[in-house]
Amino acid sequence: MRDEPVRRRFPWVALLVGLFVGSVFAALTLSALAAEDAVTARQLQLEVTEAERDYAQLVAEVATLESPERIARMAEEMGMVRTAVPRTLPVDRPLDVDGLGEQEPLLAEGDGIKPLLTEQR
Amino acid sequence: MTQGRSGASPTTRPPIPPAQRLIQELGPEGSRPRILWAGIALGVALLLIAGQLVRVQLILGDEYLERGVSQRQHSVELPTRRGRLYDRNGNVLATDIDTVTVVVDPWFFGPQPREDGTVVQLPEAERIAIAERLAPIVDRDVDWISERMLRPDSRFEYIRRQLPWEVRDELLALQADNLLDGVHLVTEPVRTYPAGPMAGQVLGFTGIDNDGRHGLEHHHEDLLVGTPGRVDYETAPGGLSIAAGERIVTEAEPGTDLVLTLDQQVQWIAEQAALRAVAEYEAAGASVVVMEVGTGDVLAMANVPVLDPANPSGLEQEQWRNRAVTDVFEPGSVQKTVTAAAALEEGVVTPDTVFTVEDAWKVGNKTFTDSHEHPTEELTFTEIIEESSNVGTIKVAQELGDRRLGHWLHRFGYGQRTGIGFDAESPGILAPTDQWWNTSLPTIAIGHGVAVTLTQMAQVYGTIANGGVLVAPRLVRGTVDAAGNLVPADPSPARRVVSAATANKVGSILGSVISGERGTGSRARIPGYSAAGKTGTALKVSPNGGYTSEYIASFVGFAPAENPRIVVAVMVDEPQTAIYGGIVAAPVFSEVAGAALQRLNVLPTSPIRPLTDDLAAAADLRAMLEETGPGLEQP
Repeated sequence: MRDEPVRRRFPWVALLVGLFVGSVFAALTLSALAAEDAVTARQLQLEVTEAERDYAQLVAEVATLESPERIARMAEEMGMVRTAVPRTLPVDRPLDVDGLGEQEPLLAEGDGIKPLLTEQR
Repeated sequence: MTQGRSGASPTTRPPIPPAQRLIQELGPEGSRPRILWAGIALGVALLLIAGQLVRVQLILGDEYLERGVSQRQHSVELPTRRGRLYDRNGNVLATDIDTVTVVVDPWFFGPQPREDGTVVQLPEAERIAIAERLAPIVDRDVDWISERMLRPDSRFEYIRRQLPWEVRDELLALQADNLLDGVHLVTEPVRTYPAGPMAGQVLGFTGIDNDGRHGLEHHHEDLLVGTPGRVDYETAPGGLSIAAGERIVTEAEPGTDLVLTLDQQVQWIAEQAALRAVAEYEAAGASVVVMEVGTGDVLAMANVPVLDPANPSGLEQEQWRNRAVTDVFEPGSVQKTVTAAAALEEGVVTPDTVFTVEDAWKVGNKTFTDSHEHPTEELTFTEIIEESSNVGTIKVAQELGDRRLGHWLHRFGYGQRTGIGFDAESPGILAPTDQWWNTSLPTIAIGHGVAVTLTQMAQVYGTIANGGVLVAPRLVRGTVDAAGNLVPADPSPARRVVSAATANKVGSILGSVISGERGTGSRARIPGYSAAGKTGTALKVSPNGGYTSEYIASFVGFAPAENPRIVVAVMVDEPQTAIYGGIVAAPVFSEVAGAALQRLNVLPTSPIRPLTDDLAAAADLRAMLEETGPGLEQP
């Protein structure tokens, strides 16, 4: 008879404990998931930064390789010499290459500036 | 109701006050005072807590909030990328690359008092070991590093700035093994100039903090410099970042990229030609300006000695100047073009007007002579300019008069900055005509008593080449938008100076300077192209007044003569083995103008051996080989 109230209260206590444990578990899970996303985002950000750095480095390297001074030096090393009198091949229109018809001029109208890829940096 | 109003009935007990009833209910009388005191103590404690709450939350709330945020939140500045400099075709002339900077925190290595009153310090052996590991990587002495590690009252000491990025991997590996405690790595952008010393004085350079210090880097600092970004993040008490904590990233905004008018091919050709002239004539220096006719775009601006922007200290500071813009010189005979244009525009002469020209002519107390002795002769105006006769030019100027010559010099831009967009541009020197002496007219008419920059002279000849319309030179073609497209700058201001007819006549006369039998500029001839220009040879002005014994040799001209595309101005400073512009500077003009015209795909204007001749010769050779059979082996 004395255990009767305890037995009556047990389901409620168990429910409360369950709810408490469940809440803690849910909170921890959500927190862990959020942390995982944050870590992933941070990792991706680092990768983007690293890629941008590589891109900037490559831009500088390509520019160095394209510099007139280097090209002239390499040409000299290959035995080339500057011509005193330039020779020309006057053409009235673009060449007909392999019967493909008239080719478009290599340079389009307007600014012949290289693609600078600013938006991708 | 009546009973209640008249008082309590004899049988009814009076009501007990609530406080007394509480005491009664609390228990026996012996424990009541203790409970009362306990209640009072509790009340006081609650009041203290409430007071402290008010103090912390309301009175000192902001201060504690700030302190909490400072303990929890940290910020890191994100370095910005400085705008790039491109040539007119998109070739990179200046850009940023990342480097690694090594710093130490002396607090970490010094004595650190603890809360318990003790003092701890990293053992000296460990500190020395760290310094020894760093020394070979950063190329510093161990003692030097060790001294920096113990700098008092400092939390930040540079060990080595801006090491190549590759070094970072080596340092990170040591850090991962806890072998570099107290050493930190900082990413720093550094300016690099991929084409080396090309156009050094024009591009300028940046300081170690990547701020523009000189040249275009300094002039366009407001555009080139970006806005640094910032990361605000939360940390745990140990200093570790809370991954799920609040993280606010403010992205860095890169600086604006500038597209210059320079063409790096033409620039290189101009510099090489200037270097050769300086070497051949043992000159102190040389400058070359190549300008596109009609737009004022400066395709090349070369200065020798060349400045390496990556190492400006390799050259004396006075040679950092872009002398083509900042330095003035007496133009000498190249200025006769202005005298000629003024005389023709005013109708004082025609190209065929004949003058009697002696080899010496006295004006006031000063005798002016031609560059060589000759008998008195009859020369047309064209021949006077072609031969660069001082006496003939002075006679023309005397018919023009002070006021009109001064007016036209001013119209051509003498004494005014061109507005090219460069720091410390000189306006040149041109005294107002009311300050001229009696010998000023003949002196100025032949290019003395005035001073110009080489860029101003290029502008003058550009005006003649452009049919009499002056277009100011410019160095910046535009900027680059976020999509990577060119945003053109405003076109250079233009104004008519002389009529097209006058410009054509002057151009024709200048053509005879190069192609005429008596011309002083025959060495300026360009194979395949017609050209027009004028030689100049002038004594250098002494800074203390008067003249030195040194010369400036110059040549300014344009090509092709019939349909000018470029102006090339050449100035060689203090040549030793020859002094005349026609000898020293004209060949530089020829070389630079010829290469620049080819670069601009300008077809030759005069017949030269075409490639078709070579192709025909090659076909003949092939036919011959086929006829002779395999006995004659091809090389």
